[in-house]
Amino acid sequence: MSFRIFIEQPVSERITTITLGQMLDNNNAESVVQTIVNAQERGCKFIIIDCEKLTFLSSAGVGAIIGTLEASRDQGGDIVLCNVSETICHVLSVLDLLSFLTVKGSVQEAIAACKLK
Amino acid sequence: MPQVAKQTPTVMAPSDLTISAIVAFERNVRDAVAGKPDLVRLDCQALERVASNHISLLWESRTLCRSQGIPLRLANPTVSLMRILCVLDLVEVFEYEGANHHLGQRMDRDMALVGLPQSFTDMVRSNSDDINDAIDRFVVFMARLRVSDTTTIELRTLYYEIATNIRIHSGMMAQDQFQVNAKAEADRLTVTFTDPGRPFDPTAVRVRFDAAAASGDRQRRGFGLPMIQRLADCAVYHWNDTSHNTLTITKKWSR
Repeated sequence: MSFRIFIEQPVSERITTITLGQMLDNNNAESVVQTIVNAQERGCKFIIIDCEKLTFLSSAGVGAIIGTLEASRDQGGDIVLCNVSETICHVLSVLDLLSFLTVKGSVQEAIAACKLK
Repeated sequence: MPQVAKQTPTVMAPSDLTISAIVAFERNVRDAVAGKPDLVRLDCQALERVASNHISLLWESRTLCRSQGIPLRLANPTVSLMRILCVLDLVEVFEYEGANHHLGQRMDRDMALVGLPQSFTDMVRSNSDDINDAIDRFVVFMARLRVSDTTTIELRTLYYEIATNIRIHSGMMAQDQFQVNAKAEADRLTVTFTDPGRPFDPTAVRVRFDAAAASGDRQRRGFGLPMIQRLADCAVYHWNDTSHNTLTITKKWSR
């Protein structure tokens, strides 16, 4: 279970970060969805998902991101992935998601990009 | 920079296939050829994990040298490299020297498979914890086959998605078991999932996936089938009254 623990840390009223564990799959995807939805309902426009530790992403994990993305973008915000490894990038590219999602190299880069909007 | 004397320069073949490493390697080979040496050596001692792009670099170097009438020799080829060259029927195309160079004379397709485990069988209980443990065992099997990181994550994801479909849709109880058989061949891995549950054919409908449409619909489920269909090079489904569901996926691999 420790592989799936994730941590949310608000950066500001508009920005929050979610640091994922090693796995985002059917066991924790719904919890991640709820965390994202709660943040959006609080008024967070930008949700930064730090994937530095992530080594496995299932279809449920993909759904957690895709299913909540529009709610952020509708409000002029976004869900930004950062620190995405080559293997996870490869999985995202299989579903042609790399060009659709916003991906940044680091948390700092993601925060800076969100503050510009 | 190429090493040693201009008569027989040596260029190190890169293990990493980053753009900068490839550019540097190609530049070093061009520089070596420009000196009109008697011989160009490509030192291959770093090529423990060999991808198709490594072979392409070696082939292009050979082509460049031949165009200038300069012999090319692979120095210290690794056993992994010799196996791949054997599988691709390219052993006789190159000249060799140094460690393992003798393998160029006598390695054949069967020897290329020596030392590899070729099959894998597992019985898996249809619950989340056991499926995750089974995937770990499967990943160990792939590691022994020296499968690339990219193919490993593809196969790990395929296994997870197929096993999760079995868990969710087959009607099996948590302690009921399904079987996984894997067969490793020279250029592919075939994995068969057999379960006694309800009929479920993941190949029946070709699922069109559109990220923008899925996001617009706030779709959170249903991405497993498109992932299976896109990750597997081939997927074949059978049903019979004895073994029930049998799904065989084939993945062409790089080692």
